[in-house]
Formats: sequence, structure tokens, C-alpha cells
Amino acid sequence: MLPPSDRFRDSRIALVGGSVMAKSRDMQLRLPFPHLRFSPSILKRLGEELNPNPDHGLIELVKNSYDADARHCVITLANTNDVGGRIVITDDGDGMTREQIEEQWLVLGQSAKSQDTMTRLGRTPVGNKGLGRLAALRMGRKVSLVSRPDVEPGVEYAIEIDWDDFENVSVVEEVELKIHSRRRAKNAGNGTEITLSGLRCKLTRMDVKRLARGLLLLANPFDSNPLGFYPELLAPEFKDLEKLVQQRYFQDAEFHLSAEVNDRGEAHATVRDWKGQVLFDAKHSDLGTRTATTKYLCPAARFDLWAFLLSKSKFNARNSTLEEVRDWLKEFGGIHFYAEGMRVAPYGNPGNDWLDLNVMRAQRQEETPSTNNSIGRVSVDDRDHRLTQKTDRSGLMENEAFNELKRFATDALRWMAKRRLQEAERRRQAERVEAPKQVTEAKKTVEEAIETLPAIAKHTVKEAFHRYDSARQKEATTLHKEVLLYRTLSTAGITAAVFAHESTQPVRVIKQTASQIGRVGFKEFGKHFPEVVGEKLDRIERQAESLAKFSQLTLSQLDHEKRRTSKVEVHDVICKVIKLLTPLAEQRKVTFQMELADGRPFLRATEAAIESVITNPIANSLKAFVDAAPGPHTVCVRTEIVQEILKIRLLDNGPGIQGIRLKEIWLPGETTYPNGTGLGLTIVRDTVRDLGGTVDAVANGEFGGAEIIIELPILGV
Amino acid sequence: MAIKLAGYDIGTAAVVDDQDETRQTMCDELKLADLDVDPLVGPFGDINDLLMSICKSSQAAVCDHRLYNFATCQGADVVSRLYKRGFPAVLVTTFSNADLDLFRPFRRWIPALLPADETTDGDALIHGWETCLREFQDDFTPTRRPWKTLVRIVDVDREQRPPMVYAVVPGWDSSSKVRFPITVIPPELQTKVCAGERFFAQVNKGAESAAELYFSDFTYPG
Repeated sequence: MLPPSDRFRDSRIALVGGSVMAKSRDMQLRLPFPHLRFSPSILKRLGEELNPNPDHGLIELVKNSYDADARHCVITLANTNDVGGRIVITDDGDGMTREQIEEQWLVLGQSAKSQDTMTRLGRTPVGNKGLGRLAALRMGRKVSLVSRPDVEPGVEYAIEIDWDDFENVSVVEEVELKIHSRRRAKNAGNGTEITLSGLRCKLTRMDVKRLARGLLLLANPFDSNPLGFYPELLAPEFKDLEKLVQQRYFQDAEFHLSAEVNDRGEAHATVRDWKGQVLFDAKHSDLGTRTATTKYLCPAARFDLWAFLLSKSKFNARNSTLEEVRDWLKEFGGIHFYAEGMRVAPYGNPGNDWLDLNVMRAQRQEETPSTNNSIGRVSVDDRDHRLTQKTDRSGLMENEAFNELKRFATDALRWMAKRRLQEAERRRQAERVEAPKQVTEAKKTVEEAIETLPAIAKHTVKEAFHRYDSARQKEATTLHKEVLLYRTLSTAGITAAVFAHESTQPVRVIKQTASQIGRVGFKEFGKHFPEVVGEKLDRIERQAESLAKFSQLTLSQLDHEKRRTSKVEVHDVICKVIKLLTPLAEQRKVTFQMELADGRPFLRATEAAIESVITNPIANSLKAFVDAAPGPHTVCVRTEIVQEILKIRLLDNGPGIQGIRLKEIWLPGETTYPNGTGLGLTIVRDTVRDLGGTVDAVANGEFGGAEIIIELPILGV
Repeated sequence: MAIKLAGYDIGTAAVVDDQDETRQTMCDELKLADLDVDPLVGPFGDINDLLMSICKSSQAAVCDHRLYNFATCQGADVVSRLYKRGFPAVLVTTFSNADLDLFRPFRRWIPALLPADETTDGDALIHGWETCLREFQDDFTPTRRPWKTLVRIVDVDREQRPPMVYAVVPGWDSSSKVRFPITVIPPELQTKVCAGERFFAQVNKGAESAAELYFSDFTYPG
């Protein structure tokens, strides 16, 4: 039966921004007062340009289906691997009446859905703004909508938008759209079908995979779909991933962190082992570094993290294999974000490390999970709407509520890492006590076994075992020395910092007093005074100046800001290092030469890391000149950018690398200087590796002396 | 002997420094500039006692920042309070980048911050006092004049104590981030501080380096 409101039948309307202007045939297009209107190019701005990937917009349409209380939503792709293809999104939700199409679906930038009003099935509406929808609808040259509202059985409404119609008008409102009403086909249930045809871009394999992943993660695969919503993509990629997501290897996690913060901002956390036994418990006051009374100013939330130890030995006793878990984590790993049960992208997408898990791991290597070996979710109950999605769907606004939520999750992670580190330390202490006993026992067992051998073999085996034992002891001694060396160096570093800090005051007094003697002497004894002692006073001032600069060199390395991960411009760091080392170089009559490539290559790192990579080879060069023949001594820093790699060469005209095999220069403790630490180049190697780069050395390079070649992947120039 | 600066007579200068040798050196420097000196010897339990001692017999002051075992306050606080009382004072201290953060909440009221690792002669101190005296008469140098300007927050590091705010001041340099402690912002506005938020503040837009920038009188446009 047709709706009674025949007056609406075939009514013409216009697509408008911000409000609906129902426009009957006799209504003037222009309002009788000045008003804002929108050029059709705004559709492109808000549609295509706010849509980083096709999956963003399509998932927004799926969210609309969820809001319409659909249980199933199916996306069908037809010829999408070429331009001009078609995408159909069908759901079995409540459908839309003519008024809803006019006043909600066709209104851009304003969602009529109130998040305060639950849907018929008790869902909190998750779609908003309508801009994601526009992005999806603009994917094709045409879009058609057929909707069968549950409140009007037997009726369906259809509308078609041809985006080309908007090319030849001056304002969006000029294009007339028509809603048709017609009888439904028999057996046609309630719901909505949207067809995007004449796709402007093809969907790549990666696009389809991303869409499949996004759909599967949308309705929280961590639990058994509490929302009762099943989005589906009719594509083989989806089936494969669906199978994978359903595996849910949570029970194989080495440990499970669960933390909760209530609506009063009080938190607690628990870590369980893979058998479900509680390992550690934290009250609110145990989390974070702030005072116990500081609350988290965020909505109530729960944070779960499952961390895996991806080693073969760990998986021997498990039901699943290491490879299965690896594949699963590769596709679904990361920490996902769910608000009102629905996933918010891009948190947890490949490469998205919003809780800085990897940075934390880099800072505290041990006992901290990374995005490669863990999966997790933060689920938020944001009834008061304290979190706001960004218009371009690239996540949530970083307002106080979001930052506090992040702080809660980060505090929980830090607490867990700290507790696990304490456990590891305790374990190590026990092992330290136990290890020598075990070695002695094992040695005794081998010696007893040797005694049982026939006489001829006994002697040979005894000799061989003795050689092995000596080598092992030598190795242990070397490692022990290395540990001692690190400790000594740390103490030396701390002492140097204290000295640098405390020496500034006396140096200042020396300088100022020397200057005062000069001025008082001149005043009292006239120009004869500077003639007699002037040069000596200048020398005191110059030496005090050098002392002050050396102190500055040490202190500058302690700057907290340098240990903060951020965008680092490598050339800037090189210039700063050279400036800091110049007083030392001048004293040793060494010239610095900088040949930097054009541009400002940058990467994401700590300034301290880049500084150590540059400083250590230069410090080695300065040291090497002590053994070099007299003459002009030069250290050159040269950079070159080859595609996305920054090549840094540190060259000198010293004696070159001698007295040590080239491959051994990177080993800790290997040095050719009596008071050398042998750690400088080890630090360079380890730091460069951490930054994803490579380092190499030439004994006698282009300048005749040592040449260190560092290659670092950069993010831009 | 007194000197006249911007219509103001300075005969005696107070020297506030916890280190005996440094204090004496500074006194010698001022004597060389023909000024009488009042070297203050602590300890001072309360900042007001210290301020009173400074103002009692002097017309200007030179103050170190770190006052260990000398006073329960820091030099930057002392100098800024003297400024607010219309008393010219110069802060002479050794500082690192991290210290600049500590000075930032007071910087609006510290026109003369002299690095102690450079020789501080009488001329530099007198110039510092003169800058203060001119500012009291609303005569600012271009690098110090306050302007109401937009401050856009780009990041907040709540791990640091106190939390550090990273902001861009488009009216000064739209491509540089400036760091300052959250305490620069009044407590009632601190909850609004997060990336993307914008505030108005009095800022010396003519500053030639980030170290010279000051922020005061924050307001939230809403």
C-alpha cells in the first residue's frame, strides 16, 4: 500500500550542506535573503579529498547499516579491479522513509542521529557527520539508493544521484534530485541497498584486503560478536581473513594485561599468565607516576593486551603453531580502539602505534611487548561523548579525554613492563647464584663420563674437553670484563656530568677575575700594566673559555629533549655536533669540513641517537690524529641522498684504521688505545641498526685515513 | 657614586648569590662601575624577607638563579617579583636549555637574563637595569614588547615534571615549536590544554630566539 502522503510523491529536492531545502516545483531556488551557498567543488573537497582510502567511506556506510539496526550488511564488488566498476551495499536494517532520505541521508555534514537515543535494538548510533558517507557515495560517477522502510510495508523509495549533473551548475542546490516511491517486489524485506556505479578508481588488492580487515575488526572479533552485527564482503580476501580472525589465539598469549578505568577516573590492572593465573595486580595508586589521588580524566574504559613470546620453545607445548600465531598477529595485531562496541580506525592499523609500544620497547628492550608480538584493544564507554572523531576519519581529536585515555593505557603498559622487569631481575639474580653451581656439576658429569672411556679415547677427549673448557672460561671472562666496562663508563659519564655542571661556576669566577685584574691594573698602574701582564691574563681567559665549552659539550648531551622521539633533521644535528666539537678541534688544530647535500633530510628518531652516530666517529678521528704525522688535519662530514637513503660519510686524513682487523672495530671493548673504551663504534653500529640503517668502514678511505659510511633510511627531505 | 638611568638614581646595588666567591666577584665588578654594593648573606627563610632586604638599602639588584642553602626560593622568582614592584633587577646565571623552561613562567618580568658563563661586566648589568626601568614606563624594546597573539598547542608531554607544552606561535614563527611548562598557563585553563587547542596570550612576538619568548595572560577563546 502506498503511503498516504501522496503530496510527497516524486517530489524534487536538492542536495544541501547543513540543512534541507525542500524544493517543490514552484518554490524559488534562492531564499529571499542573503545566505551561504556551496559550489559543487565542495563535494570534491569534502568527499574525495577527505577520504584517504576507499575502505574509510565504505565502512562508514556499513556503520549506517548498524545504526539502522541491520544484522547483516553485505558489500558486493563487481569489476572493481578496473575503473568503472560497481559496488553494492545491502543491509536488512529498518530502511528509510521518504522524510528520512530527504532530511537525513541527503543532508551533508550533520548527522540527525542522536547518540543519546538508542536504536530499536538498543545500539548507540556510531555513524556521524555524514562526510564519510559522502566520500563513499562519490566513489562512483552515479549512486542509487533503494530503501524499504519497516514502517511502510510494501513500499520502497528510490533515488539516483548523477554526480556529473553537479559539474555544470554554480551551486550544489541547483541540481534537482527526485525520490520515487513504488511498490516493493514480493518477498523484498526491509533494508537499504546502495549502488555505486561507474567507479572513478579501481580497487587494488590492498584496498580490498584493507576493507576486509576493517569489516572484520569493526564489530569486535575479540568477543563473540556481542553486537549481533555481521558485516560481510563478498570477496575471496574476506573469506581467508574471516577464517583467520575466527581462530582467536588469545589462549596462546604468554600473558594478558587487563586494565580498567571507571567513570570516576580510578583504575586498576591485572596481568595473568597463559594459564589464567594472576601474576601481578595494581591498584590505582600503583599505576602511573603521578600522585595516588590524580584521576584519569577520561571516559570509563577497558584495556586488554595479549602479548606473545614468539619462540619455538614456547610453542612446543601449545595447541597452535608459531607460524599460525605469527600470521594471525600480522593481520590483526596492534592495539585497536572500540567506542560503543564499534572500531575506530586507524588505531591498530598496520604501522599505527598510537600507544608508542615500539618506542617503549626500544627504551626498555626487555619485557615490553611490541606491535609485532601483541594484540589488544581499548574499549570505551563514551556515553557523555567526550571523544570526538576527526572530520577526515583519521582518528579521534586529541583532546583531554583522549590524551588521558592514552595516559591510562600507557601507565598500565609501563606498570606491567616494570613489574615484569623486576621479575626478570629476580630470576637473573637467582640464575647468577645458580649458574656456577650448575657449571661445576655439569663439568663433573662430563669428567666422570670421560673416565669411563677406553684409555686411548680418554686422553684425546680429555684434551679436547680441556680446550673447550678454557675457551668457554675465556668467553665468560670477556663478557664479565664487558659488563665491568659498561659499569665503569656509566660511572665515568655520571661523574663527567657532575663535573661539567659544577665547574661552570669556578670557571666563570676565573674568567671574570682575570678580566677584572686587567681593568683594575689599567686603572691603578696605567697602560704599562697590560703591557706586562695583559697576554698572561688573556691566556687565563682563553683557557677558562675552553674549559667552559668542554663542560657545555658534556651537559648538552644530557638534554632531556634529545631523548624524545620526534622528527629529527640530520643536517641540523651534524651542524650542532660540529659546533660543539669545534673548540676541542681548534685546540688540536684540526679543521672540520662539511659537505652536506641539498635539502633537510629527516627521520623519526631521538636527537641523541643521531648525535651519538656522528660524535663517536669524529671523536675517534680526533684521537687518531695524536698518532698522525704533523700537518693539516681534517675531518670531513659528507652527506648524500640516494632515493630514500641518507648516506653519511665521516672521513679523516689520519693514519687510518690500523692495529685491528676491520670487522673487529665494531666489537665492544676492542680498541687500539690504552685508555680507550672500545665502545664508541659499538654504539654507532647498534644505534644505526635500531634506526634501520647500515654502517661500514674503510681502513684508508678517500682522505687517506679512516672512513665510516652510514646509511640511514629517511622519511623525507 | 650614583648613576642616573631613565630618571632613576642608582647608588647601591644588592648582590644575591649563594656562592661566596661568585658574590665577591660580582661585587668587585660593580665597584669597578663606581657603585656601592650590598652583598646579601643568607639564609633567608622567606622570599618576602629577601625582597625586603634587597629593597631596604639598594636601588637595583643582581641575582643568581640557584640559591642553595641561601634562600628557599629561586632567583628567577626573586627578579620577577622585584620587577613587579618596579625595582630594577638582573638575573645572572648559568643555564642550559632545560633551565630555560624553568625561567619561562617568570620571563615576562625578567627583561635581563645574562648568561654567567660570559663575562658579565658593569656595562651589561647597567644596561639590564635600564631595560627594566624603561619597561616600567611602557617603553619596550621591539624584542620585549608584549602583543596579544594566538598560541596553538601542538603537543603536551605529561610524562615530564611539570608537564611540558609544545606550541606554535604563528605570529612569531609558524614553523617553530616552542616548549614551556604547563604552569605558565593559569590552573583553571590547564585542563583545556591539549593538541589542537588554541589560546590567546601576551607574547613578545619580536623576540629573536625561542629562548627570549615569554607568555603571560592566557585566555581561552572557547
